[in-house]
Amino acid sequence: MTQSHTPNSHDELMAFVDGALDPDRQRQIEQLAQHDVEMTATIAALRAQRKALRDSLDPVLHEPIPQRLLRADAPARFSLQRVAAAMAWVAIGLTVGSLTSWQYLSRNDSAGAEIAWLRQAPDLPRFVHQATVAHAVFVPEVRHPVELGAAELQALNTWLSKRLGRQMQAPDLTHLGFALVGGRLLPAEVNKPAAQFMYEDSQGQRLTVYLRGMAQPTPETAFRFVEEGNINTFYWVERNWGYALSGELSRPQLLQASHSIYAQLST
Amino acid sequence: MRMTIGSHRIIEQIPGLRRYARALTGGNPENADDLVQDTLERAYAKWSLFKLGAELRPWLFSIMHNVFVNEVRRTKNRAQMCPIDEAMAMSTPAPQENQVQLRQILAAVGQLAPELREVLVLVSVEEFSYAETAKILDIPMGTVMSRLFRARTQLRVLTEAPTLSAARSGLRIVQ
Repeated sequence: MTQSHTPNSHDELMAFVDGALDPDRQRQIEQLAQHDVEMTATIAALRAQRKALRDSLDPVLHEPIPQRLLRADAPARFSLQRVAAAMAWVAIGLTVGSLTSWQYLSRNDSAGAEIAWLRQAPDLPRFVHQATVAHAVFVPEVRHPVELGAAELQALNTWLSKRLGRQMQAPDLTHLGFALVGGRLLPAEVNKPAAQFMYEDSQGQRLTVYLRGMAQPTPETAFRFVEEGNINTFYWVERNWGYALSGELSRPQLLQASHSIYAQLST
Repeated sequence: MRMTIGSHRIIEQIPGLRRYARALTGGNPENADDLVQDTLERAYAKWSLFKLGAELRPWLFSIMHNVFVNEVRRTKNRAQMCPIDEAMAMSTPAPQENQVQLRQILAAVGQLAPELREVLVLVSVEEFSYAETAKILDIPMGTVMSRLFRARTQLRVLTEAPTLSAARSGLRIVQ
């Protein structure tokens, strides 16, 4: 009686539609439904409904996560803990949030793939954050934007090459209207200091290039885009070196400069 | 440090929580994200109660359930605050051609009783098992099943009535 011809309860019909029955019973009902027009219609409607629900809701997964959700924080009892948590949030939130949004647009990754990728490369969000923070800190400097100016280009190149442990020269962006201001050494990770080069156009608009060795083996990436406030950043990883170009330029302008920097700094 | 690890794991769940919240609020993105934000805040506050090794996702959904139930209680019925027209106007445009239909179904979900909405979406979209759904909502499994049936039946009435012919042609294709 219970395992008879048709789904003998609403519960069983639901379980059938959800694929939650054991495979034998599932098949049995499938076959029986073929001879029952009404049941076929009901099943089809329920399945269509399931699909419509998913189709209407799944796009939410690919929307950029609003910043307010990435910054949400508990009212902690200890202020110190709260500050630490808030800092962690800003670090993770800014990079993960904007990073995810762009990737959805550009590569149509699923959230799961994106997160798996982030897990693989935990240093990368940190790298991007450091690059944008360094940009934000030094770009407004009037008197001391750089440690060593473009006038001492040779010394700058030698010094930063030595400290970062790789040969490099400050990329030339004059063909894009940006002249080198100079560069500086920055603390980043243990044994992985970072270099920042700064550029300026005739209107005083500034760009920074930030690079360092990654703290962990990090998969190579294509150009990726993040946005933090007014600062747009393209970044990429090649041979375990992270590169970031930040500025308040439009995305296409920055991308063009990124290509040029990539070609010049590629190891 | 541990807080950071927890935060990171919770962040991974945000897209799923937003999807669920969107359904609960009948497709209203603002209300949905308010719900997610309240849920996250409570999750961080309660993080020390989360048992390591337990599954994070059901835990977060159960928190959202509590937040949602409180909210519904407070406003009597969230759906009434969000009439269908408004829900349709506010929902984010989807790239699909049948956008309107997709929005309509969310608006229709918003018309269901809150407890029906929850079961319907947890099972159909979030793909929790009946047992997991029962645990998240803290109700017996039999209640899950009966609510699921009621939700689906009512949703059919709400969505199929105005476009019966379309539904019929849809059926023919499936057959």
